[in-house]
Amino acid sequence: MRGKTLLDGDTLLLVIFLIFSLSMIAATGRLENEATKTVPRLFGQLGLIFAVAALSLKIFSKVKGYEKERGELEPQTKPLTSVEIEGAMNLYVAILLVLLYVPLVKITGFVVASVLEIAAFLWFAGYRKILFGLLYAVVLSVGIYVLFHYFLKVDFPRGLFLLI
Amino acid sequence: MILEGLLTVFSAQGLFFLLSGGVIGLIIGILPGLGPAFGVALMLPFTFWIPAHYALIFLGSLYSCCVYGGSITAVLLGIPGTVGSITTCFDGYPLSQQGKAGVALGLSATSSLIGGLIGVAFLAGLTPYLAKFALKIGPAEYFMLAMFGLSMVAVTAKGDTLRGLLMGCVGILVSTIGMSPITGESRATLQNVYLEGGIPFVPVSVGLFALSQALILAKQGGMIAKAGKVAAGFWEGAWETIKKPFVVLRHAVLGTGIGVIPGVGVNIANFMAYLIEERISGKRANPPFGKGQYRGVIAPETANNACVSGELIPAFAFGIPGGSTAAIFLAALTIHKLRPGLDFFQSGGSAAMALIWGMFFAQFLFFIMGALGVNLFARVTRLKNSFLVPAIVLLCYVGSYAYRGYTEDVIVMTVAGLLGYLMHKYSYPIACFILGMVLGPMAETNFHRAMIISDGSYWIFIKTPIAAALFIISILAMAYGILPWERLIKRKSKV
Repeated sequence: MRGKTLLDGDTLLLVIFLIFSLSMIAATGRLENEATKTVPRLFGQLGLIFAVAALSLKIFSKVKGYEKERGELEPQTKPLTSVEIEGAMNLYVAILLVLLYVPLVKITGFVVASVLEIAAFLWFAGYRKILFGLLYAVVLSVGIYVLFHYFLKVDFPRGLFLLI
Repeated sequence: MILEGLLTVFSAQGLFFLLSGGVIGLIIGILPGLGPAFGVALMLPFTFWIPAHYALIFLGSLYSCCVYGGSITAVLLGIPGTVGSITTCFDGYPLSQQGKAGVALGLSATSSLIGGLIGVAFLAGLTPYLAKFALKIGPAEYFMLAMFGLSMVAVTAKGDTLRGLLMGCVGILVSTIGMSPITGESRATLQNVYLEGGIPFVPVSVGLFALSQALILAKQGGMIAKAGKVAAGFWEGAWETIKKPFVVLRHAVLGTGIGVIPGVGVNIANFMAYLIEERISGKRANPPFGKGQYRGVIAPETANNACVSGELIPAFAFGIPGGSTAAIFLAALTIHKLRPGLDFFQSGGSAAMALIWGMFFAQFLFFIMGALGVNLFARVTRLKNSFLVPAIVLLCYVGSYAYRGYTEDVIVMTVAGLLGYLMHKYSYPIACFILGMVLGPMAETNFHRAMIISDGSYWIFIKTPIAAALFIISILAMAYGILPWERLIKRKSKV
């Protein structure tokens, strides 16, 4: 669902793709060979046109919608339900843990980082059976490590302390 | 020779390698991000010590079961287990959410079985004829084929064409990062060694489809099956598939045909089958596509399993791999001192027949595993999301890391996952991005090759009948996607 306001994730995505298209066009300026430039320049320009068009249409429709709303009633905002707040909290915790996971693996190694990650998520998601939660975290992390490291020969990062 | 191959499969060792390849393939297929190319490449070193015919049975079984395995995750979790089952999520997952996981698994297993068997029949019987056609394809035709694929962006994104076209452009742009395939010049690499090799497809697809799904599940809370109860229904799904013979047949032929064309693999077969079936069924479909339509599972699952054999046809006939997995199969032939071409079917006859029979029985193997394990697989949907989310995140990490052993691939996967979450939330057509990313390099390379051949003349792109036909189809597809036909027809009917 597209957002109700102008400053939402949809606008963020359009701005990201607009900047990306611009950067790709700028990057072709440094290239020497014409054959290397053709595709990124052409599709960079097309991407730029599509992003600007989508943003313009969005701004235009929102302004129009706002004027219409102003003429009638003040827009009503519904308060968030406790389920929605809980869902949003879970999402932010998951994003935070995903972002922390890669540096954590580098520091503590795969297994320790995974156990911490799983246990932390379970805790923040409201699971309070600590022993079972920890057991799940250990079994899953060690199981994946054993399967991939010993059977499929994948070398996981061992971290600063050379743990598994 | 045919009987010799059959006896090889039914020997104790033959059955062992058929079964072990099938189980490993199914597990790798179920794991998001790990696909058939990963599985076959990973297991290739273990076949050094096995006789050639058993090695080929093992790899053939692994390949077939792996492609099927991807559909299990797609149906139960809404996450494609392999890139060849992306569109299976579109209708398989809604069925799972409605408590019809068993039916959806029955649909996918039966359509995969029939599609796979038809594909194997093509592999065994029509290899010389299809290979002749594949040989006629030059750079101009390849380029037009890529253009045809890209024109499907407009069809895919119908209703939100602007964002669809934008996603297609972004996909192509991402594929141009790294070393140019024509000149070797670095593009948009920011002098980073990792980016020199380009943005790899596997971590991007893991992020876009798997990690983003984990974030969606985290926000949803509760459990995946909203109905809370998973009903049985595997055989109902199987019967529903059998009742639609034309759907199965057309997509088996389509899948095999797509597989034969080098560079166009199971992912494209999966996409094309879904899009074509959606267009054929149109608004008559009840429930509509994307809401648990049976045809939305049957079409892509038939096509991707038929494509498996299709990819091997040019590889074994001429040494031209139909896809990355087929290229690894060619490496397996070299290891076992076999050469593709007529030689493979004559001097290496029993190995070729063992592979064909092995792949034939592998189709039944995954069907049996799907039928017997359906309750076990279906239980996955009853797991709490709070337990599933960290497990998926872990598998995403392992899948993208095990691919090449680079931490940078994990970072790419994470970025793609976060963007993918926003794209899912705001209904961006991700399929358009994937089409752009897969077909971009193919289009670029063949465009420049064709231009070199034609000495700079654009006529080469419509000179041959195949290229001209593809050009016309591409234009029609673009026109269909971009023009608001429904509104035009309505206006005309009012007048």
